[in-house]
Amino acid sequence: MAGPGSARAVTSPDEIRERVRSLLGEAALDGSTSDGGAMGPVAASPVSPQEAAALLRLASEEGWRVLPHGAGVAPDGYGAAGTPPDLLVSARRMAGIIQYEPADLTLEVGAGTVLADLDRELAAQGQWLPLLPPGGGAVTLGGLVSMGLPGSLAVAYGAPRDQLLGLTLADARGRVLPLGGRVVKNVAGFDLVRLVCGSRGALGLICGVSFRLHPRPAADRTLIWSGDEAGSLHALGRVLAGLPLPLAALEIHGHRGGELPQLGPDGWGVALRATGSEPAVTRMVDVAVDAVGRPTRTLEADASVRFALAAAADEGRARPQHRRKLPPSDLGVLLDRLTRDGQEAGGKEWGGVVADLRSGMVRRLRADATGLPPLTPVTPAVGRLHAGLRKVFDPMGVLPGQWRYGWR
Amino acid sequence: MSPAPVPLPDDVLRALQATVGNRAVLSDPDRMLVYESDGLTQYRFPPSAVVLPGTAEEVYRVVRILHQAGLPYVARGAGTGLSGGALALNGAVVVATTRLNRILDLDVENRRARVQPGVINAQLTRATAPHGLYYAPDPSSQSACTLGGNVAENSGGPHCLKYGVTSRYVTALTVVLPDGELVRLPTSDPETGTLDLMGLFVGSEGCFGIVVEMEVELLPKPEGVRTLLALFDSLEAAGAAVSTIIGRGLLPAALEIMDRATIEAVEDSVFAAGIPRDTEAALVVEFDGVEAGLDAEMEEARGVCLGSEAREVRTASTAADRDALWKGRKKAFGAMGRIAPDLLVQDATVPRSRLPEVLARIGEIGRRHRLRVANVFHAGDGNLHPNLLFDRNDPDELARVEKASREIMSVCIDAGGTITGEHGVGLDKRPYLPMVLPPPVLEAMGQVKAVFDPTGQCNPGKVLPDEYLPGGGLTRASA
Repeated sequence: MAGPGSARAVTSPDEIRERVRSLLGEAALDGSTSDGGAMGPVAASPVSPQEAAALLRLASEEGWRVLPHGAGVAPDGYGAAGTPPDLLVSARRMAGIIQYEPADLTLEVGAGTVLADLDRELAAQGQWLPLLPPGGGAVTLGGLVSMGLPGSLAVAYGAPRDQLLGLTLADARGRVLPLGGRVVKNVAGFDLVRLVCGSRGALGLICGVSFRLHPRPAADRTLIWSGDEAGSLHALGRVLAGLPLPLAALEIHGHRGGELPQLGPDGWGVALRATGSEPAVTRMVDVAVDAVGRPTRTLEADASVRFALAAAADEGRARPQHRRKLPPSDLGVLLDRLTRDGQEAGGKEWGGVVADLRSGMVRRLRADATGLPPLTPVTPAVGRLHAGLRKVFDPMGVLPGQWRYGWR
Repeated sequence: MSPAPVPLPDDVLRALQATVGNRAVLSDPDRMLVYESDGLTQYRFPPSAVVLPGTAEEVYRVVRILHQAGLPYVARGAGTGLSGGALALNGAVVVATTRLNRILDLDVENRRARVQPGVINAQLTRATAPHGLYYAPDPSSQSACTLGGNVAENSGGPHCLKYGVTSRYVTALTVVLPDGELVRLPTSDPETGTLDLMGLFVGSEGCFGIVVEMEVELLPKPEGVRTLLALFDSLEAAGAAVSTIIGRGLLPAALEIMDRATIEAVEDSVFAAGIPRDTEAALVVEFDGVEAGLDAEMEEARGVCLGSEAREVRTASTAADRDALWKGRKKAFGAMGRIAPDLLVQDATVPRSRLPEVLARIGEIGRRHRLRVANVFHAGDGNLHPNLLFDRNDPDELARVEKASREIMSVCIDAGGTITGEHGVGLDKRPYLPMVLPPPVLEAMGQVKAVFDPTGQCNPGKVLPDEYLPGGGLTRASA
């Protein structure tokens, strides 16, 4: 069915399926769609960047609304709610390691590779890709890059955009664009890699990605100070954030009891994660404890990893969610306000909150945006840049840039 | 050698003077001499005028005047760039950020600084040091280069092995777009649907607009630092030590190598660092972080170096001793000025594991073209800086330098690397870009450039070959 206000030609799912079959063969068609049922969008999985480019070119010629997607575990549903795509395109069949040279600490994988699977391969070499996006280990690497969301490790190791070395994009002009590379420093040409990272499918389908890797830390420890209210926990977190320690993560979690029992019965806590050599981790923990007192509990090694993964997985499931970045020193006021509003509303609709105490990135989970600072409006000049950039990769407007985000 | 300066139309000159004041517009060829070249010393391009705005508002008013007059212009920081990015091709007007040199706000608790683009890199670290903070990207030119220039080039430095490059530390950017519009660039945000325009702008080599204000993240100074200098009888042995250090799971803050030609240049100069002249390779390894564990990491690295047949390993833990070990590396470029009139600082990256073979091939290329090549490089990143020594007044030698450069680029690309790791494409690497990027990517980059700068007036003739640039790269009708 045509979307509201759309004047485009409509093709039935059966026709789309037939056209995709004749272009790429039966294997490219996924049996069931994420929505299920014959009336949902057709789902296709090209096996190579060339196939993806051919498919997107066809969609462009036919005016089909295309939604690139990964594992479907990251927060989604932003933009024009309810506008259905005609065609879901996934990199599912472009999975696995393309090139991995442990001595270079670099890696290139198909975009359909699942993070947890990759992590097992890297662990065998004592290496690590320190990214914990919403959705945790279940995300695909392509989805992770497409969303571009920083997770709990972003302050220490960088967001996806900082760890990404290159990617291969199939765009709606039918081009295969190998962007960036596999070397850790590369400034040859304009940085389209960063433009595509976090573009949420608006510029094409990400088919392959390359990353820099890190040695897997010898020691991994998470300290949790539990509490029952925002004010005192934020004060404690603020002291920790001021310590000159290279901590892996430092976040305050609010009202996340059911999902994260490690936080204690009230679901409020400050979680500090230290990674590195055993003496370095011990030292960081000692300095933290000297500064704010003993934690409620300490999670060692695998337990530390499990807590971080569970928090990320829960963040992926949370609907709705809202993200804002503010100066870390303003977090206390915000958390107090959210708590007060929650109490006035009887606590039922409180949802949850996570705030990075060093970057000031706040994620409000399972709740509306009440109490959060307003979003930065898109100015006309920025809007024009978006419309122009969209047309570079998707002149016909079949990707979500136009029909979801409205970049005309 | 250099083309004749093209005078600016009188009405434009008067409009610029009315905007920034007479003293902030230079049009006398003698006073503009310094703006004819940058760190890529073999070229000279006289600008038609130099404008020195004093505020962000003056920058956008100047850009509007030039945009409306259809004149090309180029932003310039300190002019230390090594790829010719600030060169005023086709009589472009230079818009220098020199006077925009204020640190606007230092927020110690949130570890952020809001600065103007003309602030010198090292000046920011000096201003933040009393608070226990520093600015991580540390290009070798940090005592002179500007933060705005660092944004344009996405600058790195010895310590980006562990800490990453400029783009990681820029948290907000306000720029003047090529049509004179002032915008704060968004990052990727799923709720507003924006793209990471800030990330795209960083490293755009002055082709997408001019930075007028930026916010950067600062880091707390590490509790401890340890430095080691290991001397080897072959470059291969030094390279093997680097691979082993990384392979052991150690992550030094820096891993730097100098070859024998560089060591000789340093030891013959006033910067002599006390390294025996017959040393084939000197490796600097630095660790930083919390005190605990640093000595163990250092000891392990020392063992690796000795195991890789280092003839000598010196270690340092005090600041003064560390400076002594770094001295040779940091003064290498200065020292080379003594032994040749001109120096082409090349820049390319290869996968770390391919370093030894690539270095051997670079040595062979230098011998074949009868050129002195001295290597100083960020070994941990695989980021090579082969320095070609020459005399610009010897046309035959200059031609050999260009041939050797192209061959070096080709060797690096064949090894799975790229033509520039941190210096940018600018003018110098433009002919090499098609060696590493296929036509569809060049085409897409040209289209992206045209979104920001449809008339091609903003830093014309840079980064992309002319056929991919809007307006064919050079737009000046009167030229």
